[in-house]
Amino acid sequence: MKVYIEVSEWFKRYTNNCSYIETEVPEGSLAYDAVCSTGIPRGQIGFILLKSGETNALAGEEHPLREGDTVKVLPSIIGG
Amino acid sequence: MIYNNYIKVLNVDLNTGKIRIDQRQDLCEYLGGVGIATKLLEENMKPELSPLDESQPVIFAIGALSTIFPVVTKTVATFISPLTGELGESYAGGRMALTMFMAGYDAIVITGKATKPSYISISRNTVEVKDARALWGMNSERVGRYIRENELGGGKRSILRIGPAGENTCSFASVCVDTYRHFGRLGLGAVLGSKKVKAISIIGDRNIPVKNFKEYFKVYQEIYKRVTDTEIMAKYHDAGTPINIEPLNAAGGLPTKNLRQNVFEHGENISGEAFAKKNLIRKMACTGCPVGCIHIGQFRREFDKGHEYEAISVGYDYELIFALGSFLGVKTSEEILELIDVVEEMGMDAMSTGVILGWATEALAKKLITQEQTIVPLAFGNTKAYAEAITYIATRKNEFYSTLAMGVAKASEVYGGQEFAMHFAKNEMAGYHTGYGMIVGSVVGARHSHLCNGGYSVDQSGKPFDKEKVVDSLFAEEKERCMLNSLTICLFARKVYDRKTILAALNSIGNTLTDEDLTAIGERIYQTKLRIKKALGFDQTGVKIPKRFFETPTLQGQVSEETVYEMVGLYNKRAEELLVK
Repeated sequence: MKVYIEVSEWFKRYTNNCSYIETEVPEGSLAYDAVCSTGIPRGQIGFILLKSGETNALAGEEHPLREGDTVKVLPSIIGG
Repeated sequence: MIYNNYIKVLNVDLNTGKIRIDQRQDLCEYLGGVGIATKLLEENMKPELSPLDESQPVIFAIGALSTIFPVVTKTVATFISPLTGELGESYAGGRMALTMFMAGYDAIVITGKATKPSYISISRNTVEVKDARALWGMNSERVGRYIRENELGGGKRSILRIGPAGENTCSFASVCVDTYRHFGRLGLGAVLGSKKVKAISIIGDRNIPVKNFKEYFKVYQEIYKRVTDTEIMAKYHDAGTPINIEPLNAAGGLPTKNLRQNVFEHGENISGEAFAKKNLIRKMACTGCPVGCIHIGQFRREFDKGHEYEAISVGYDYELIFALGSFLGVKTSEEILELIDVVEEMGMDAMSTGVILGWATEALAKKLITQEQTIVPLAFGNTKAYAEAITYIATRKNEFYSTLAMGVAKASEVYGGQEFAMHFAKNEMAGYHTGYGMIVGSVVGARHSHLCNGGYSVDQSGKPFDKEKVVDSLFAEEKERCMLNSLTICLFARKVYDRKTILAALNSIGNTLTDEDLTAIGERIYQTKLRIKKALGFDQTGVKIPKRFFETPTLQGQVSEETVYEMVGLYNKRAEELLVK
């Protein structure tokens, strides 16, 4: 199935500077796995947002994607 | 500390002018840093007296690995906080740890009060209390320049100083260390101001050869490589902590307009990316750190008619952008830098300042206070008004601003609006409205800081919420950070300094501690903190959390008030058990 991944500025270093990626993943793939398939290291992922129109929702570790889903991947919060 | 079986403590009594040096073997079981600073606070504090009473101590300490390993750059200060009335604990980078190390002191205890404005000049062989009447009233930059030019001597030097806010005992006055570094939180500047100490200069010129250089250098290089050649620290150098603006804003965890919102509509204009593209001019590092996480931004200011401009450079990071940006509805990076500059000149904690102004803005809109009191029309986004208000707080311009100078808890107690006074146990909130971990962690944290137990980090784990697990995680992290801070490692590098690495570093300089010893040290330090808090009358279960925290959704959604209080109770049970262990 096709899913769409929006990449924030920090992650463009892993995606050849692409900020929007259309990718093919197996049915039922988890959001985190789909994002990692683009080359973004799992440990670097802070949040994955499921985008639906104007609303966003956080995707948990076990969240499966559906055909046509768009997600946005954001870096983890850093600090002391 | 290195190669010695004692902790060397310099005691400065400002009342008598007497200096004493102790060699304390008994303090070694606290390892160093926050361990010895907390124990010395417990020994010297007077719980029955006000935090600003002259007999209350100020303690500075460095750790067992200070300056000789990468990113071990911090000095810790402990004191009784005039803001919260309980444990004051604050950290600063810069050159201070290096100079204390090279001057030969593991800890410095300052008690008493000078008879006139003074500065303390500390070196390996002498300690002098000098006349600072001419410096009183100056901002920290000018004081730094004066001392640099007039305190001559070889070796490395670090200069601490307070601004007008500290002189006027503003409860959240900071202490500037060298350039762009601070003991920011909980009002150390006010404590020094109450002692009439305008500045402290430390010069160190001692060199200690490493005994087993081969082993030491092997460990050093391994750590250095992890710091510089892996992704662990890359973000800190790249965009720095301002990178947090984007994910927090996108996910709904960015405190905005006094936390009436969790998303800032102008977030893109104040993101790390925006600062980097528009304002970033250089990056700096504390001594002994190869990362360079200090981001310096520049803005232009017209200082006279006829196209007379000056370029002002200030340090910026996430917390400052949140507090003086989104929290106040300030929507450009230049305006935020302007406000940081004013806070810097006055010598105040930027986070507390922003949060207090957020409350005042809403209180004015709700007519709890009047513009006669605020003098300027405080309104979200009104940078000019905020800049003036900051100076009014620092100088205690009128009764209203004098109350603001005592913190948002006090101001809301006097004028109302406690439900939107955004503090945890009197310490103004940090910039993470992330969920249960952050809220509970800030309430139970020893100094009510997000840095006590990293609750915001727990909230972004992506794991399903489980209150017991969150509480366990906060409790374990609080103890672990006591151990880490006994080494004064910059917490940005906490993922570099895992237990194995810490032991390798300690062992390479002849310290034979084990993993179990580190666990015991962490617990011992936390027990000491809990005893101090208890002696000062603090009760975790008695903390009232402002309603706004439960009204505005976090990035985990709405947080249940009932669950938060239940979690505080669960945590308190663990803390009580530790106290009697």
